[in-house]
Parts: sequence; C-alpha cells; structure tokens
Amino acid sequence: MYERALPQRRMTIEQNILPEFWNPPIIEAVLGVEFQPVAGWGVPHFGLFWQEIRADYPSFDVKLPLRNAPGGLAGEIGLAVVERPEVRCWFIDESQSRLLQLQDDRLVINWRKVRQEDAERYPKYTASRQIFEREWQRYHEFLKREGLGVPAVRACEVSYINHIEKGGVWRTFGDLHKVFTHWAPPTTETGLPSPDGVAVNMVYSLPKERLNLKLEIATAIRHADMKEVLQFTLTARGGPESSATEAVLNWLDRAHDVVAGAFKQLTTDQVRETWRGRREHGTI
Amino acid sequence: MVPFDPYFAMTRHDLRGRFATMLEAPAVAVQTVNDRWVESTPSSVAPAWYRELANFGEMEENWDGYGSPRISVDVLKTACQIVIESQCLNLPTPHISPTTGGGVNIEWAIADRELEVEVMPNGEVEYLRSEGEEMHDGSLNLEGDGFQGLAGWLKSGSEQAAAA
Repeated sequence: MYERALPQRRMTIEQNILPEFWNPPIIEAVLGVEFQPVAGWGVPHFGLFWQEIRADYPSFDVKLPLRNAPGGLAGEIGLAVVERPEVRCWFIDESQSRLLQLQDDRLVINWRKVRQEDAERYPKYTASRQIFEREWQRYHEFLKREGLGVPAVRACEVSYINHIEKGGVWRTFGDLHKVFTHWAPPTTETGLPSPDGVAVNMVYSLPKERLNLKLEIATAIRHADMKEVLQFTLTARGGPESSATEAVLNWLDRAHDVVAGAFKQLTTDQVRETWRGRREHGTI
Repeated sequence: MVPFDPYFAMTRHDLRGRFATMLEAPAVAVQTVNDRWVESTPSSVAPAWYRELANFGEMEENWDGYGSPRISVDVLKTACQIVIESQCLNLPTPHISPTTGGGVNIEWAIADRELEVEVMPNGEVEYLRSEGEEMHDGSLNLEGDGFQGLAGWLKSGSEQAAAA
C-alpha cells in the first residue's frame, strides 16, 4: 500500500545512465534522513514502533545514538559521558541484509551484502527507495497515532560503500591508476616506491543539487574475511526543499544520480569491465 | 567475548591508562559510532597486529616450502578475537606468527612468564604457559573464562617481579 509508481524520469535514468554489473563491488547502501529530535519520544516508543514493523524486521540490536552528521568515517570513535540512557535501535530483517536504524532524530535504511549471491542481485536504487518510502510513511503514521507530530527534516543522506578487492585489477597501491580515473600512473622520476596505504577524502559542493558529495578512498581490512580492500565510499548529504515526503524522495533521487554518476566517472573502464553486467543471465 | 573490532580494542587499550576510572564507570562507553553496517577497519588506524594477521591470509599454499596449506579465515578470525580479548585485558601487544600446517601462534611475555596460544588449523585452541623451567599446557575454550585466567596469571608475573 505504501509503494507508488516511480516517476518516468527515474525509470529512464535507471535504464540508460546507471551502470549495471554482474558482480558489483557494492557492499552497503544507505538512505537516511535526519530531523529535529521528536519531542516526547522515549524509550518505550522504540518497542511500540517495533511492533508495527516486526513482521519485516524480526530481530533488533541496541546501539549508541549517532550525534554528529551521518556519514562519519568508519572507525570514528566516540567517548561520551551521558546523563541519561540514549538509544539507537537496529531493526534487522530475516535475511540479515536489510536494516532499519531509528533514534529520536534519525531514520536510516541500510542494505548490506551478506553473501556473494546478494551482490549478484543487489537491490537497485529503485527498490531501496521504495523500502525507504514505505518505512518513512510507517514512521510518519506511527508518530501521528502517538500524537508526536511530524518530523522536521534537517538533512538527508545517500551513501554507497564499495569494496574493491585486492588481487584483480590492483595488486599493489601502485596500481591505483588502473582503478581510479583521476589517479596518475606512478613514474620513476619521483624515486618513491609504491605507497603502503592510501587515504583520500574529496568533497564537492553542488548547491544546485542542494548537496555535498564526499568521496573517500581508503585501504581497509574487512572484518568478515579479513581481506584487504580498497574501500570507496560515496556520500551525498544535504537538505531537501521541505520536510514533505515528496521533497525528501526528490532529494534522494538527485543525490543517487550524483553518486552513481561520480562512481561511473571515477572508476576506469578496466575495473568496471570486471563487474560488467551480463543481462542474458537474467539475474539483474 | 568482546566485540570483533580491532580498532575498538586498540583504542580502549590506549585509553585505559589515561581514563581507567572513567572506563570502569557504567555510563561511559567507547564504541565505534557511525551509520554503517558492514564492518571494516581502515588501514590507517588498524593496529599492526591486525594488518599482520590479514597478511597471513594472503599467503599462498606451500608458503613455508613444506606444503602448508593457506591459513583459513576462521583461524585468522579466532586469532584476532584472542588478541582483541588480550588487549581489553590490558596485555601487551603479542608476537604473532604463522605455524606449519596452517595455524597461528600468539605469544606474550611479562617478566619471567610466557604464554603461547596456538590456534590450530581445525580451529581448536591450545596454550602453553611457562615460568622458568615450569611449564603447563592444555586446551582453551574461548567461550569460557579460561583466557582471562591465563591473562591474570601472566600479568601477576609483573606484580611479583615488582614486589621482588
């Protein structure tokens, strides 16, 4: 009942511009919205809201709340002296690949790759958007029923996290030019060897799109299999024109288009070829 | 067992000296806080021992010239969990090495006491503790508090040395 037909423009973008891959490097996608803290929100409301969504998210976890801008660097650490219990609830679906994060001023939807076959059928943006819209509507209706008002949106976020594994196109950090278009090949003139590690942050302001685009390239060790990867994170963050659901969704659409375009422009044909879609197999 | 988060363990280990009292207080938490779900540690902040373990995972079959197999992810993760636990128990950073057959050996030494924990290729964990000529070995169940007991024994070596 919450899912609506997507605008024609969105379908066209999905079909014509965005890359499709058989084995995409994406390991996590995040759609989030931050709003003014809901006055009157208390710990019992987490449980009441869980009752509403429990059929779709049967398990939960409790985390410290996010208190800075979403999209913080992985590994950021917080040391806090708290006056009262503060809570961020994770509601997790049965497949362990979909997560709804909720706290008094934020709602975030995450998808993650759990198994290789998840990557082969990773959800396109349209599917993630529909889930976001459904949960945002459910949250709105819950707040309304509880007499807690309507959330005043402050910012939204779209993030895509990619793991480009060592051993394919790149084997040393001297191979980064084979992965990223803006990276120059190493020269012998500097006398420097290949770097031992890489950490790059780039931020672009796109006022017309009402967002900032942050790109992070860093070497990382993935906990699941302890493999060394190049972690390429693209985060768009900004404010929609209003708190209306339509404005939030429009902002997410624009942000996604920017992120997808940047991903395509910044990765080389060589590395994208290794992820290339094979539609004839019918899995995408 | 503590969370599988090498950066958390290292940071907690580093903070303990300065904020020992605070870290014991129930209202204070040190935790990685972001809105991500997939867990990874950036190399720039990953402790050296964690990078070393990850490197073991890249070693090809017959890495020792004696036909040893590759070290499995499960062995590496168990080794990692033990080091994280040791960091949270305030042990010094251990010496880590691969063992023939595809296991990982982890060693600590404090004063006259030495503790070796070996993660076997089949995932079982064995230990050898020694003080001078005296040695004792056995199996270790990581679900229980056996490792805490060994860590306590190891640390008390430095107290005895200081008292002497």
